[in-house]
Amino acid sequence: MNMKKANKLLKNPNLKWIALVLLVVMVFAIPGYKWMERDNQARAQRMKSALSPVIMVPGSSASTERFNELVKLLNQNTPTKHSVLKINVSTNGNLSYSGSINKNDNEPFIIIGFKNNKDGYSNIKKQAGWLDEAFEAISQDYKFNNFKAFGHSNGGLIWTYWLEHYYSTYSDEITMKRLMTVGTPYNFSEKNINHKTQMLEDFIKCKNRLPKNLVVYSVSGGKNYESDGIVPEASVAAGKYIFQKQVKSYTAMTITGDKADHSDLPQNQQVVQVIQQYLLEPIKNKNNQVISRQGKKSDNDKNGQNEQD
Amino acid sequence: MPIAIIGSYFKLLRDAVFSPDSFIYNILNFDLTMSDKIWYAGSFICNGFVRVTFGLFGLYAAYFAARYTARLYHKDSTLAGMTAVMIIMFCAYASNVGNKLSNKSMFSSSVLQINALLLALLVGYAVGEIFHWLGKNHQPVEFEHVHRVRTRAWNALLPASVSIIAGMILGIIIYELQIKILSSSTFKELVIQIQNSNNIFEIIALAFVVMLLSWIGIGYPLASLSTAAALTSGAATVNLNYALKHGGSWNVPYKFLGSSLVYPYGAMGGASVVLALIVIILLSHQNKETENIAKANLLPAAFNSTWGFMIGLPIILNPVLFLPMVLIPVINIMIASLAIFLHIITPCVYPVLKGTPGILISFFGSNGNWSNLVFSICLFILDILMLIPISLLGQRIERKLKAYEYEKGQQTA
Repeated sequence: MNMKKANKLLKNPNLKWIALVLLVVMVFAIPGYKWMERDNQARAQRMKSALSPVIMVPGSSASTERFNELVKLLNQNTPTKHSVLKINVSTNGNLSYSGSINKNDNEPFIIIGFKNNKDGYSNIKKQAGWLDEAFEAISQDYKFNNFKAFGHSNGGLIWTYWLEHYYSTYSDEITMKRLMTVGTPYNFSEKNINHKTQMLEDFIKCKNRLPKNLVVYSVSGGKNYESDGIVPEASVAAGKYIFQKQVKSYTAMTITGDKADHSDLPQNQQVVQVIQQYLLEPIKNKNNQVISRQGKKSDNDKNGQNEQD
Repeated sequence: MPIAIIGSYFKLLRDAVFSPDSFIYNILNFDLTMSDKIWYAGSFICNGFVRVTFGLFGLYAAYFAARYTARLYHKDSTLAGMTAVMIIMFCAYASNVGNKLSNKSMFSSSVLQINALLLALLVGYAVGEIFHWLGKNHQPVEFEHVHRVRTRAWNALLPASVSIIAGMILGIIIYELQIKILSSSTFKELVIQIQNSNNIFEIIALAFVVMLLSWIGIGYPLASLSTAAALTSGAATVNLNYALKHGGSWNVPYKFLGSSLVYPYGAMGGASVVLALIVIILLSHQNKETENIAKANLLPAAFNSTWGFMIGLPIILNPVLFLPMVLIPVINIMIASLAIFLHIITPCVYPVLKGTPGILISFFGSNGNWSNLVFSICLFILDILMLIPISLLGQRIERKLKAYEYEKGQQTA
């Protein structure tokens, strides 16, 4: 009886359909397993990674060589030298590299420049797309889980556009901890905040996409009382309409004195100091590592609250 | 209904092939190997068809529910159907007109989604009943000339108007109270509660509710339970980070997290009971008609696209299948948590791609733990065994029903 039943079951024409679907599932299971292994391994690598690069974007008409002086100044008084990787993005999104990241350097500088580095909103949109090409490549190559961003002039605009339009693809695996923009004209050359440019309007419209736990510093130069010679102070200050009450803290600073010109800012001694103090990780010292970190942290928060206007 | 099966296949294609976080898309590395043109064309077609089948399913469901109810009582069934379509559209309009942010078009309303099937069925049924009580008898004829059509329209005026007034009131209620009836956000709390709970009893109780809702035709909670959003919850992230750090998920802090119990084991990606039922129907080889439905749905159901069968058989509102539909997932969850407790299987903490076949979810979700795979297969076989007595019962009822109908047919003839 049982045999008969089994026989009947085997002759069931539906069996081949079940077998077929089972086969399909199995065929997909094998590459699926491989994919899973690879993906989880990469995830684990990223998770454990201590790498926290500073990614720098120069302004309009500037190349990846723009920050050479700044890097030199930043590397002057540090026990561990930051290594530098420069990436040039061509107009069709091809990347060319120069320099390299040292194996034991946990805070390398990655400078991303564009072949087309012209001014204007439409170019900034394109540049943000190129920035994303480069970012995707380095995020896969170096598997960091957090980074700091630095933008001079239009570089800050490119970062802002990138944050609002591209960052969400990475945000569950990679965190932008801090963003520092120097002399960034959030309202282009407009002196009057009541005249908002299209770009500023767009930035404000999409500001809810900005990460809630990001710390932002906006540094402006004061050559005279109105501007750094090129960018009006009011245009830099317009950043508050984008970041304030959106990110964790937004701090605006004005640098005056010698070399406060727009194009001098990246090699201004005060800017270097500000970068070391706020953007970079505190220098690790075996004895007071924890203390200095905590001190730094509370410092940050205090600044964030006090200077937010 | 064939519409649901068509929808199922396109949903399968969309969820497994043409979306960047999907199973087949990733393992075949379509990111690089598929040209953008094909990808855009494919996702355009799939999205479009999922939209017109599942996205507008309320229309079809209301139409047919009203039509068959009216026909049962020999009333003008076509007009009943059209009236029901009008009312459900008005409800869709009412629920979406206040929608400030996104699409105001009523075609994108959550009321019309397949996940809100219950509402459409109720509207259709109510309209059918109104035609039953107020409509004049109607005999379909081969040829209708103008005069007849005119009387037909006149006859339907009273029940249609009453239905529309009732529909109007329903729509006003929806609009005034801004009840987002039956949308994923309504059940957000419920789903979040499940995903963040680490208490087995709470999870079991809530899973019971979710399955109950999906049995009566409200699929939103089950659907949103299945999305990748499960991983964004705090506890799940803690689990994942722990597992990544320690290279395994044996000792994660939240072992009995709802998000890693209900989806991989309880519902097996939403397909456990449905797939088991399909296999039983195919193996028992009894009724040609149901067998064909089962055959057509085998592939989509294996990849968790179950609506075709839910409606085709139907499972929804089918009293025979109520108990297994609701209880089997709960039993699965209990067995799985016991197995986790006894260290037979590891908790599923790793992210799983969309459209991963249900049986493989716990295997992939545990970074390829073989005992998880064996356990899942055993669990599935157990589900089938549990379903056998029910399906025998179902067959017996079906036979009796047929005999009864035959008798009744004899009497009237």
